[in-house]
Amino acid sequence: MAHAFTPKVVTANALLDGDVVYLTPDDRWTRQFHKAELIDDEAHAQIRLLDAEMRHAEVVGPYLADASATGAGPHPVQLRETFRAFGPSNYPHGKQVATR
Amino acid sequence: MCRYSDFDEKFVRERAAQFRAQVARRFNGSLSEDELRPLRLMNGLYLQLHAYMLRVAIAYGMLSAAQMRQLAMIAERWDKGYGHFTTRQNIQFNWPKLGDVPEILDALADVQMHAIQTSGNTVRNVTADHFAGAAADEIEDPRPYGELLRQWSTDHPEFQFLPRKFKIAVTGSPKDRAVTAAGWAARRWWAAAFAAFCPRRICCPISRPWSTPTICSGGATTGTRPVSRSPCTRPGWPASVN
Repeated sequence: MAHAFTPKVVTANALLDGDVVYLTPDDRWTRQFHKAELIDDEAHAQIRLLDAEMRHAEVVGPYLADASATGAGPHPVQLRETFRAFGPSNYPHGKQVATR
Repeated sequence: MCRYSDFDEKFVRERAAQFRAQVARRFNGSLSEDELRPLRLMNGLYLQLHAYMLRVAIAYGMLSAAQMRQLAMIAERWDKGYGHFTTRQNIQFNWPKLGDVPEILDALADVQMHAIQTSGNTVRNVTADHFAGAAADEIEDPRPYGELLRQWSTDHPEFQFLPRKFKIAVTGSPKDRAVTAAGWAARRWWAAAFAAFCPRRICCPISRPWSTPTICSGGATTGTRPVSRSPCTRPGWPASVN
């Protein structure tokens, strides 16, 4: 029996500043998780990951991260991805400052 | 206080220039990330969860006012206005941009500092008692030993690619404020490695230990300092450290 596929987003770190970025449906890199392309097909996820890996002049270490669909766009599932998406948890000095 | 010799100055400047060229090659595509990663790690630059992180070595925990001001300037100009001092007496800047790091390394070199061997499987920056020179219970000042170890271990070709990182702390006091005891497991491994691969004593000139390495079976020759494995007889220390 085929296993259920958890939706994914393609994420990486920007080469220039190391910031966490996500691949959008129109092939740009965004710093906001909810603007990422939510991929619900495993084969398409692999293709998008290959696309991202070709862009090594822009990003470092792309990979697929689990995500869930919400009314406001994709949302991270794992705690690690929540930290990456919203910034460090000790006090606001990451992305959460920029989005205030 | 750690003071650079002419050799140190030249070496650190050259490393900063090399890293500048390496970053430029990464940007123009002639270096891949897999190729750059070991090079940046040798210069203390990690890519962490949220951003790059640059760890700067503070030799045996001693900072001058000029160095502290330079660290503050670096934090203001190229980071978010702050850094984090680590438990091993280094300082980390958690938000530098890759393109700015060569500038930061140059600024560090201006005050005789660097980020070399603050990362990777090598002999890391030597730490010491933070009360060195001022502690009432101090038997001996650990800083000269820290300086000798700094000179010996910096860019030592034998210790750039160890199986794992190796950390040294020096204390001159019965109270272990430098947390030398944390390294016992590593010391056992190190002793075993030396026993297996270095049955003879290694003699090294003090000032440039690795430039003219010699192996001798007897005592040290003129101008050299033997790095021997004399049994530790300090009260309370386990025999396993030997």
